[in-house]
Amino acid sequence: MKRRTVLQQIALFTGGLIIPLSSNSWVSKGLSKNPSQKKLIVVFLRGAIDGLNVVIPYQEDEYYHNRPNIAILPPNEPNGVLDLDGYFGLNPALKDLMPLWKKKQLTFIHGCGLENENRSHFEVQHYMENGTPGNLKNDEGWMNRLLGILSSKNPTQAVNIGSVTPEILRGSIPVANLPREKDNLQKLSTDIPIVNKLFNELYNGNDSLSLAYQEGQKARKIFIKEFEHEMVESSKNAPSTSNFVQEVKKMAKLMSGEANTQLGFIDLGQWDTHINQSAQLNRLLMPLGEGLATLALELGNLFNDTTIIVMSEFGRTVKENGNKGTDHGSGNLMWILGGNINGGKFYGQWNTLEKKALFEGRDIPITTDFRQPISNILSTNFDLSPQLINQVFPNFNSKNNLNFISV
Amino acid sequence: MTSLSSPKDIFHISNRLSFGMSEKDINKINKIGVNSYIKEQLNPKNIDINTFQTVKVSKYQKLNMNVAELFKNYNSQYILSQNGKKQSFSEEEKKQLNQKRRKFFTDTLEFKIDKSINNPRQLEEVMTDFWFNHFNVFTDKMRNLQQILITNYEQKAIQPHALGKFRDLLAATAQHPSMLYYLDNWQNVNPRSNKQKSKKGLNENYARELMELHTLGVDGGYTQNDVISLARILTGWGIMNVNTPQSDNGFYFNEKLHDYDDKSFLGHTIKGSGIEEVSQALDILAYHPATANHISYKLAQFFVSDTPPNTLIKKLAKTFVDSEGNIKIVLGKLFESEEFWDTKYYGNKFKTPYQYVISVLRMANISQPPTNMMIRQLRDLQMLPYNYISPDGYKNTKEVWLSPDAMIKRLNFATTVAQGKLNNNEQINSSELLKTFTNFFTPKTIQTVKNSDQKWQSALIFGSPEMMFK
Repeated sequence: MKRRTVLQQIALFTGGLIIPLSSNSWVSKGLSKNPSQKKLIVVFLRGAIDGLNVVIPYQEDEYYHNRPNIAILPPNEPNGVLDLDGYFGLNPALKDLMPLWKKKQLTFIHGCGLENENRSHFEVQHYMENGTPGNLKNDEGWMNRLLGILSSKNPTQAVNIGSVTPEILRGSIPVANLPREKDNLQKLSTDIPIVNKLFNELYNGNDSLSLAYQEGQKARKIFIKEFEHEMVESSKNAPSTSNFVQEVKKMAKLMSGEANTQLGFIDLGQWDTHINQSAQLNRLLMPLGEGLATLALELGNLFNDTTIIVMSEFGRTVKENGNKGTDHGSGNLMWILGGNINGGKFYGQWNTLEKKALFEGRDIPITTDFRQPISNILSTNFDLSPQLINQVFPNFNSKNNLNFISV
Repeated sequence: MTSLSSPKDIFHISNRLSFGMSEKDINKINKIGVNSYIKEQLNPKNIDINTFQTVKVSKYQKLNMNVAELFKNYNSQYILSQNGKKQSFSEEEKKQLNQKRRKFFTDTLEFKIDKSINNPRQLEEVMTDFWFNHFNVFTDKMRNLQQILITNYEQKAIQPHALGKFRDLLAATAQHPSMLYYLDNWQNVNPRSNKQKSKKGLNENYARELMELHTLGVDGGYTQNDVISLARILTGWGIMNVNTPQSDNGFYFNEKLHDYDDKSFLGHTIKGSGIEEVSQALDILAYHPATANHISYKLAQFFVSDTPPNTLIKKLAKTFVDSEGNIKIVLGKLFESEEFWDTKYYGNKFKTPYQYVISVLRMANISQPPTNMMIRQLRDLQMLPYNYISPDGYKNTKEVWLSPDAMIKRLNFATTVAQGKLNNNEQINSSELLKTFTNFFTPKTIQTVKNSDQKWQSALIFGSPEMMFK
């Protein structure tokens, strides 16, 4: 984190209008005359989602042998999978995604992950966010580096859902944070007009503190104005679907607004299903499916220029454990949604669930580095050169184009 | 210097040697003078802490357990083995154990905040925090274990040596399960010793950070071969489990997993002899001139300036070498140096969020703020103790912490405290604050405070620029 650069960036931004979406966030409006439409949204499922119960190889007996209590039944059975291609089926809790699959706007890449034998949530998340596997001390996120590259051509911004900037977006470029749905838009003590006025007097100079304060306050004011409407709305006690669905609606609103917002990030937790996973997964997948479908819908025409990645730190064991759950595994699915992808089919490598095909006899092997599909998106959708992609993911050699995007 | 110290000196000393000015400390300095205050803080054993310690003895008693006791009470493997035949927990039991550990960790945070505010041995607390970040560990890696071990790590491995010998600090952190888990050395074994379990082998993680972060520094002149040698020296250096011999501190050296070959390390030959090899390696590292430089730089940066003067670093490094890494002597040198007393460095250190929050509470004389609110505030300010993910620890420079967002959040905190929200809704009385602290604020701040409605005066004091710096 180099705050000096942040302040410089903010100084550059003051020509435009800065809209903060929480107290530590910055959204600049009207910066760009030619806003780029290309957008990337990353949804991170923290805790390691069980990909094998998201996309189910229902034709393989091994699947049912390994998971006597938690398997999802074949199509047409009660609560059975929704058939995708005659071999794999989708968890029925994700039924809202079926139209996207049919429109070829959804795909899954098999066997994605971080190519080492690490099964620690915190370390693998750290590496997937800093984009420099093996370098624990790098606390700059790859999406922030990407933001820097995109901004150098045309000022742009990133939005995060949550009050604390996640590691993936941390770095020298400021990022907008939209409050999570559950933390209603709270008034700060410093919003009280008289308090505000007094601190304005105290910090009216040109020193670094005063400048930081003034920027922060300016941002806060616009924020309150922009979201007054939302504050009233949320107090009406509208029948809420899930928080996630509401949050992605806000994100879509922001991304399709005047501000040139190209990057978005949101994370969802509780996927670490060691115990009684069926009920938990069901409860979590439904809003996820509904939210992703909503996001696609709300983006409207912009969805054609948007890629949404859904990723998680690693997969889970093929075999269920003694508690009707699953333990930490290796390869996992990466989900890709977008208006211009060649969806409706699978990418990556699938080697069946036979024991000899598994990593260490227990996990889906990692056959595609998580940076590979992302690099393909950066190259095809964002026109980044290999050199620039290397700035986003240092020391990563993009090996092949998976060709899941139509040019 | 006489006991009539100037407000500027008092501001400087009380802020740099503590978590922020308090009425008590100012009265004390006014009575005995800055020099005696420094001397007293450097010799914490002479400072009476009975009143502080007796406040919540029963509540914090469990936080004083040794590692063996902690394992018996909170480590699922140990609890199962005590239950004899039992193989696993029911879900209800698991849930209860998790809750018990979470409560333990919340109490750990409460205790940390409590001692930061209230311990009269302020310099010892400040240095404990400094060394904790120097030898950082992180709660969320192996959370079930770290949640219960971290306070032991801080209280047993760090605090007793915070003003002691660097070599002791190094040995204590090297043996502590918190560090062994965090930097993976418990899994560092001689690959040849362990053919049937192919997954385990040499793990360089701790060996590397021990040189790069804890001792020599990144430019300290070691090579990858030294990292490998040190990792080999550290093989078998691990943690007890239900099947190994037991010890109070949880440390266990498994000689079967140790690499007994001779090693070449930083130009020395270390004979393959087992546990003793680590002592030799730590001696080499602790007394190495690169370590003296590295630690001196960090101390000068922490106590004097984000970009510390070279003259001071040199002086401290020499003292560090001469005193064989005696931290108290090095700090004594620092506190009498002309650089430390150079007024151009006064009030130039931007407080970290943790320092800021604690300093407001100390000034407001709030000794027991509600723990949950504190955790929320500190998390929001991105500096919850024990929660920094990477081994280099929280930074303490302005570049890292000053941002528009941080300013708004700090002022919100200042106003919240002034309104009494951390104090049973009892507003903080500004006239008493002004009585004690007026001398330490600029005329501009005092003017703004006095011109405002009394209701908001305390908020302005806590949120003033003078409170952001130390």
